[in-house]
Amino acid sequence: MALPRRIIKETQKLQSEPVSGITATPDESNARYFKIVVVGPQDSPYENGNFNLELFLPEEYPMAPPKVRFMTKIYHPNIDKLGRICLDILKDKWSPALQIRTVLLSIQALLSAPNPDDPLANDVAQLWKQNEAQAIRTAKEWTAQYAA
Amino acid sequence: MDEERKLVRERVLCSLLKKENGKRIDLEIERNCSVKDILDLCQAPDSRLILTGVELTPTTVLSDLFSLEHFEFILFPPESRGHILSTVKLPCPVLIFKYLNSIVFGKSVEHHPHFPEINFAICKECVKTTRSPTPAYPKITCSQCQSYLISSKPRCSCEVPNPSKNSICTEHDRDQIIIPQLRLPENIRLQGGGSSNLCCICFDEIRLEPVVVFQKSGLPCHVTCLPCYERYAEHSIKERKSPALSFNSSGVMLACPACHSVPDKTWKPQILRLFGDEIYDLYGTMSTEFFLSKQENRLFCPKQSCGSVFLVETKEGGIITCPVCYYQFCANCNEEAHQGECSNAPSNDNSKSLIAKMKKCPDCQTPAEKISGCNHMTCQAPFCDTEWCWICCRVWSLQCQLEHWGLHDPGTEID
Repeated sequence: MALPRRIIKETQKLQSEPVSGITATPDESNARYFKIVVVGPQDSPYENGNFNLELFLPEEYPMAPPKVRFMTKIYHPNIDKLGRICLDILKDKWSPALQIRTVLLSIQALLSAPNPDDPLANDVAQLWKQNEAQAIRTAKEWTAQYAA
Repeated sequence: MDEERKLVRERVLCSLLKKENGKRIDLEIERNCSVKDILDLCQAPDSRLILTGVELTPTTVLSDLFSLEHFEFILFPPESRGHILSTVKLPCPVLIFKYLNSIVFGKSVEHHPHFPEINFAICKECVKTTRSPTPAYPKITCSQCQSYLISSKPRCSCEVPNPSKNSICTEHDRDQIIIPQLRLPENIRLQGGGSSNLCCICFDEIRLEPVVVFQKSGLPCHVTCLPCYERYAEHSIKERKSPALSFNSSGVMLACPACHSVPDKTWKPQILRLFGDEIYDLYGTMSTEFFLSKQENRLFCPKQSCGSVFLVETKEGGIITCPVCYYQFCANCNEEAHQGECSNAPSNDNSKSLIAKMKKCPDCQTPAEKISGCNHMTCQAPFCDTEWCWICCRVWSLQCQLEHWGLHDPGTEID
């Protein structure tokens, strides 16, 4: 099946106007598969880390959301040990008007947690408060060990 | 009179499909008849009429609903065993086609500053050959003989009383279905200054075709092209997607794909007619299932190949006959009908191992299975959306986030 024009447009735009702190490279043999590198946001425990992710656009895209996974190990309350991300817009809150760019920005924002303005990050903020020192220490250690 | 043809239409044809025997019965009904009149004509005076997931009261007059365009109802027999859901269609849907020359339209606007935003309409004859809707031609009533006149040109609102509600297909002399959500991109100013010729789903430019307009607080917010709307509608209806599907007093409707605002009065299910009967029927089934999901006395046929849903007088004891497949089952244990007192626990002849792995939404009790992912569940039942925890089966809380989010539960996870 031919690649939809929308995917071609999105890919071109991602390369001509990249999101700050994020690189997205389409796979040479599969234009629906992207290698993503997210730089750990400043003032977060992930600072100075380079996190590798994979992003796949399923056949039903944009009706169905992209599939995204962290390849680099990361200590984060919303990312599990297999790299799966608990993010509403990647599941039931997906809308076809969203795009790769908005997904990547949301993931970047998730790393910048705690953010009291974000309802999802609100939980994170509280979680972080309970074990704050230990949690941040571990997150920093993991960043240095796996994402340097 | 060359431009205006005369047509008298006081009665409309209604076709009734009886599922018991697959027979179609055609009835003629008055335009101003009430729901009760229809039920009497269908010889089902105690039945209930459901439209877009909302039950109509017996006193509702049909012409008040969709201004005598096309109706499609699900007719409910009274609650009792062995009755069948029937579909009533009335009257035949009609559509219009061919583009209105934009220059002519431009002149109309110039000479008639009150001319309303142009409406697009469809007619069933036309939709068979092409899928591009055309502007609606108004239908007006002669003040002397009360018959209908068809105008082949759009008219100014100062000449036509309520032109958006009365129009006719000039090709087929039939009522049109007006789709208020269709507009020309040039005639729309979007909130926030977005481009009205850019489809918010495929991101492509639209110049000549009508676009589907969504509204937020009564003002246009986003637009989509027709092919994208079709895909969006089909996907949302098939997957029962919330927040794409929204519910309010007008029934189940498709929300804006970008900001999820509900189009409210501008949305009519007839827009789905543009894409054929299949998607429209899917919508009818989905909205009716939504209605049923809110009824306490609903039952699902336990036979695996059937699964039909219907209403019963009571779920207590006895033998129930599925109105669709005639499977007879025990109301107590859900097994095939048997003699004597039933002491078995309720069961289901679907895969029992699968049932054992299911857990229920703490709010609406809809069973869920978990295939993969974290333990943060969102109920997929129509319009429930409750967030709950797979581990403790309670509403999702900070406690769950701390202790249960990533826990693996091998006993319940389906591979």
